[in-house]
Amino acid sequence: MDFLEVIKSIFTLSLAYATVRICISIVFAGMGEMITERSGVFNMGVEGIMLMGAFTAAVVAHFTGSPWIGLLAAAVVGVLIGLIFAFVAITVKANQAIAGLAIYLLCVGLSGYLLQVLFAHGGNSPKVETLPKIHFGFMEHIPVIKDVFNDQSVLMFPALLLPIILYIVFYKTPWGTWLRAAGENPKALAVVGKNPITIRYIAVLAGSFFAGIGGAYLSISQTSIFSEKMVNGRGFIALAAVIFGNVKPAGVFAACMFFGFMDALQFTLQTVIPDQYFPREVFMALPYILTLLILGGFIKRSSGPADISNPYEKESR
Amino acid sequence: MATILEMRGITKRFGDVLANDRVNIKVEKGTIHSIVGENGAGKTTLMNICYGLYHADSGEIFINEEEVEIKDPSAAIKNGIGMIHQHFKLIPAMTVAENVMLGNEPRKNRFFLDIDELNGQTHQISEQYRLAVDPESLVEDISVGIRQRVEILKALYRKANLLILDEPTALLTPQESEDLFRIINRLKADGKTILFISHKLKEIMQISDRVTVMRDGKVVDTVEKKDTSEVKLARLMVGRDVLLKTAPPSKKIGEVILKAENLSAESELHHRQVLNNVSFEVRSGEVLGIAGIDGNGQTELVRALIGLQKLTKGKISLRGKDITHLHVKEMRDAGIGVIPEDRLVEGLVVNFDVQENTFLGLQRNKPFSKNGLLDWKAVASNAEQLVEKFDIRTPNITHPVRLLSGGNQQKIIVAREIFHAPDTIIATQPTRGLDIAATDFVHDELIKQRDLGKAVLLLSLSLEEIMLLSTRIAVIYKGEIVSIVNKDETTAEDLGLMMLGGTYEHIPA
Repeated sequence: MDFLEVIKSIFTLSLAYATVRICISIVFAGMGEMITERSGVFNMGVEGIMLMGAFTAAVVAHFTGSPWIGLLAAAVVGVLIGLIFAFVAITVKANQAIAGLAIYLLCVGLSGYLLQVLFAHGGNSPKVETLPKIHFGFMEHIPVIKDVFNDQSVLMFPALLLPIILYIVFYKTPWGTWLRAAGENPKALAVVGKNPITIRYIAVLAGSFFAGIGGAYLSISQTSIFSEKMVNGRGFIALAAVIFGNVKPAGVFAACMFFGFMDALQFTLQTVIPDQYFPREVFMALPYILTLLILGGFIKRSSGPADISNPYEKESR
Repeated sequence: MATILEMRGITKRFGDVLANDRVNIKVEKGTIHSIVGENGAGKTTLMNICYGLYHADSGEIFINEEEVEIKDPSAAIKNGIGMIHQHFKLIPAMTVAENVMLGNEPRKNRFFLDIDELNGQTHQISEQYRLAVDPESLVEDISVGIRQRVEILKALYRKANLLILDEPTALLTPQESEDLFRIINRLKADGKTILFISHKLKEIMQISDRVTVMRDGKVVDTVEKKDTSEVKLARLMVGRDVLLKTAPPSKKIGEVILKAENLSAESELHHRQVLNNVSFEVRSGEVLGIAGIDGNGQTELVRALIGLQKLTKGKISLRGKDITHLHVKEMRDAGIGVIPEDRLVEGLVVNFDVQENTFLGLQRNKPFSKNGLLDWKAVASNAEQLVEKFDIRTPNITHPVRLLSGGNQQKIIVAREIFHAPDTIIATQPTRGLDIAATDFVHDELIKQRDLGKAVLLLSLSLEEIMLLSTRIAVIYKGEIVSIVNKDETTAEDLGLMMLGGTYEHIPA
């Protein structure tokens, strides 16, 4: 095969379409985790919350027949799990990484178990109704745009708007100032009469809300089924994107897009390059290997909130 | 005169420690009222209760002769109290104005920050009291003295009538302190009341109208400034006659022991130059003090001298032997002892007991190691000796170090490092947080070691301590040694100016 032709068959507009399609769930989870980390809390349980979000959305959509109610339920379940994490990490002041890991393991077990209980056959939920895809008439005539953005999930719009909204909230509103202050020096907030604990709770719950939606997207929009462990590391990749993007809206968004692109690319490579030439497992591992390499190079230079991962102690001397 | 604040019968316990014991204090409106006492006397605890950061176990607080409940800082702010903490409560990554207004930001259209108003109001208050603060600077870019003014701005913005300043001069140079006193006097002229917390008697005598002395959590006495003196206050404060005294001059200065030549280093994170051609020598029988404002390369210098900081160039030698590239353990074995900056982090393993801490880092050395195994008998007998010799107050040598007082913890480190270091002692902030008695002890030990012919390198953020102990003084500024002078040929003012980089612009009169 001609080299140029191979390149051409890899880098197509459908690769761009797939990038957008794949990155939506990572953007939701990444934006959510960015809010959480800005307040000084590191929630490693994102992957688990996404998994429960995906599970809840599919189950509720199955029983009610409405993916919208499924989406809402996924967000609610996300917030509830976030509440458990917030209690353990903020109120009880447990080690945040361990608490996050525990949340993740809890969600893996819980979703697998409930799946078995509800549907008796393991592995998958039944096929469910999905959220609508949006088709714009006016886009049909715009080259590139029509191929990349038309017929994407309805959730693409909030995903694309979220970084802009969060930029405004972070830097143009008092609440954003308090959120950032909670992550930089919670005592500075406490002495001016704002409770850092309240702010951190809200930030964790908001982050979990978006992680729930990011998970729901996977089972009721990107696909139409919940299967065990379907989140497949996207939550952890979102964590990486938050660090890679320096906990800032534009940076995190770009990082999410990049990881989405790598994932889309590995799918394409699997189909373009036949298995006998190259084992497809190598491609499947690509996004994760890149994550490691990038984080290895960037984590040192990343300058996130100064007080990340430290529990706030009121009467500490 | 009207009473603005009265605290009656305040008691506060932290575990077994009675931090405040039925404390009574009355502050008159429009005065500068000082509270003096040693570290641990309960001054800061009392003020934190007044500001709603701690809750008293019992007692009452009256503001303008009305009883109030101050359950959190917002209640304190509502009652017109502002507090400037010893450790600033600022956010380095935000601007001055953002810090000043934090929590009460002016808004436009209900939801958005009004940045113009934010900067404008900050500028206006700064002008009113002539504080010379730029609202748009990032806090991380401004000096300690200016950061303190930002804290004062914060209180003024919240309409505080009573300003509590907790150890405000601890990290200031003489020039900066002078400015602070001017500001305090301006605030007083404007009708504000100042509660000034300190243990520096000289400045207390300079600025106060009235002084309350605390000891061991109790109020010992409240006196008018005009009826007292430094000596009298010291006696009330410690219960006996002590004022830290200047060390006697070096007896016999011998050969060069520790020598640093052109040490340069970069920070790991941003490759910023943190040490720049640092050269000095410390001779046998002298104390070389390194004075400087926090963050000017002191930490990196010490780390370089014990092999923890990578040098981009330079040479370190001990008795003429090049030790630049030795490993930490080898450097220690070569004869350097270190009293680290933070005893709880780098000096001790707080959950270990006393005897284990007395030989930390020496586990492989004789007599503690015998055929690769620890000889606990040797450890214990050494520990017993050190406890005896250095008067370490502990029930026994298997008592956990975390349960000892700061002074006794520090004594363990001093004992261990002096015991093992034949040549050189590097003491960084050796008396941080210690009371006068313990400070006196550590000072005496360092001078004793000096007179035994050891080379002592002293790094301290307290210019007072540097002046008390040093034979010669080097000033470090932005990673460079800007000057090395004999102690007898300089003054605190001259050193302070050098610590500020040679120039200092006073606030407008």
